[in-house]
Amino acid sequence: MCRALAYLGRPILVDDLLYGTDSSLASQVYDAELYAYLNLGGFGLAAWGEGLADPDAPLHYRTPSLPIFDRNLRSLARNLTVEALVAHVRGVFYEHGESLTVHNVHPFRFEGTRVVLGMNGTLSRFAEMRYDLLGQIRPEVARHIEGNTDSEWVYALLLSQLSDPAAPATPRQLERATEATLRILRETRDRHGIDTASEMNLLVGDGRTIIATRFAYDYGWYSPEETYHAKHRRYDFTSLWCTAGREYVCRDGEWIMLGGDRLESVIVASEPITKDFSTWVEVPEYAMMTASLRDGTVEITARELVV
Amino acid sequence: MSASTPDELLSTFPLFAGLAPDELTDLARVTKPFERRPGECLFRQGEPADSLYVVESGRLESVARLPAERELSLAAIGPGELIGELALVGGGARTATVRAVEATRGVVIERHAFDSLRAGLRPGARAVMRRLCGVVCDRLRRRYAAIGTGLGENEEQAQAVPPPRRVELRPAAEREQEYASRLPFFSAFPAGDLERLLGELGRLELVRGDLLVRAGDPLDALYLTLRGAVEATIQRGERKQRVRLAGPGTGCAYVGLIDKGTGSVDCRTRERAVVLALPRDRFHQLLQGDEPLGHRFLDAVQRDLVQALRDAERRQATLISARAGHADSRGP
Repeated sequence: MCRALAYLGRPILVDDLLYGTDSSLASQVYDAELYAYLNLGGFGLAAWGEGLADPDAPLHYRTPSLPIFDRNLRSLARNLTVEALVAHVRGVFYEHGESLTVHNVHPFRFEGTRVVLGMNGTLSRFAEMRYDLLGQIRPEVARHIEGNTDSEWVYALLLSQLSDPAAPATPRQLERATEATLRILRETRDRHGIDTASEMNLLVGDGRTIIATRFAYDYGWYSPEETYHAKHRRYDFTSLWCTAGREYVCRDGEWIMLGGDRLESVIVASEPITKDFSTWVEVPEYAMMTASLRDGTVEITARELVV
Repeated sequence: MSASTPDELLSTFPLFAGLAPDELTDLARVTKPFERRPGECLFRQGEPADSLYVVESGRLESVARLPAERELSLAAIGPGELIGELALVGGGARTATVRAVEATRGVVIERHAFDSLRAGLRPGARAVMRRLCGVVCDRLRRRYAAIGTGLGENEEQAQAVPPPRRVELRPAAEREQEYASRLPFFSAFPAGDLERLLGELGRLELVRGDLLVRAGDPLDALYLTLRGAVEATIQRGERKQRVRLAGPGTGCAYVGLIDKGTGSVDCRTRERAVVLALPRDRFHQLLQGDEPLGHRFLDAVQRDLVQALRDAERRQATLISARAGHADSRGP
């Protein structure tokens, strides 16, 4: 299982989100609270901020290295303030077949597009589905695929559901594209007779909106060669957590989301980035959550995903 | 409330009332007194849950933190009441902060001390564990009621749900024992006990959307998901809240089964599912009896019941946060 995080709201130092807390995304490489394995497949982020040269194009950083050993990333994080972030620590199976290259590191962003995607999950029997999916991906998108992960294909599929992958998209358009992507994957699984569990926790962002899904196909059905997951993670259904408020700060040594008259900041993550979960809430299973920024206020909606 | 010896004090609490003198002595040996002044915390949310408190005098309040510096007031606690009973069953982390409103005193039983009694199969410990089952079940029923109230309409206005479809009960398949042994409910059973238990469970094969249990009906069996998922929901009018997604190795409905009342939730398959069923009479026989299989069964039920309560607490926190403006939440 990968670990992922998305932020939207008031300007915040990237270091606060990646390294600052006692269960930070960087530390989840080796000590995730909800998952027993190491996450060794690399790290990536996409960040948006008024201080960047092009506020519409994210700063995109990907490396097969790990954030705990990456002094360049730490230096960058200590000096970079952003208003939106999608960050991802890639988990990989402990086996020879895994390909640890920068092309497989999330979040994915194809040149010229505004939307990025990080995924926490695995499409069962992806190799059987892959070339069937190709028919649903626009050629101008497909040619950007560089790696061999299911996640990059999911990203390409999602971009292909937008009327113009290079143009700005509304929150509703991103929601529809995400739902359409999940529906196409469901239909493709059905055609191939794939009926074992596949988690699809997606984090989609464009600097103004975050779409987060906590979703699985055929949850609770494990193939004989797969392990039942509960012994390796606290919640068998892949987790997603959220906290929202005025501003995420460290007060008296404790990282919390401050209250206020309106919501101005939100964090969505595979698991809380503090060991104390009490100021976070769980996103329900089979849900899609949308957070969008308008005039300094974050609007959040959540609804049941039926695809 | 006043008593001269620890044994006498324990015997005044409903949880321990009726225990034999030697059983009370066993328990008294592992209790220690506690005192708190007004404003002092008994424990804080997120700390390890490692002890059960029994209030002799005074008053406390329990509150749960929410995002954006909000708090949810959960309960006022007075003499004779228990605090942190989940610690004796499930451990984990405290799900609320409890602080004294008035000067408060009582006794505390630490989990490790109680575990040693339980491991020795002391009758007193088993009796307390059975009663704790009832206490947790009552907590769960009240939690579900609070969630129902939070949905905004009275129970009488709940949308009529048609009765469950009759399903065919088949014997559990032998080949499923190895798989079941990895699942939470069954993982603590030795192979022989697990074989016996699975031999007593019927097997239901259900399609997505099948209704298994209807709120307001008596529970006729314990239903444990083997494969797939069953969701337990509370519905009020058009609004519905999922309170548990019972995946492999978990049960969807305990309220109404343990307390022999009526169920509080609708249970419907969220995925196609294979569900194992233990008839109600045999469920109570195992829970109340003194056979070794029953001891492990009681432990398994308690662990899952506590998890169901924690699931409901997390969902209530999400629901309240959404209502307070964090999210416009639709559907379960």
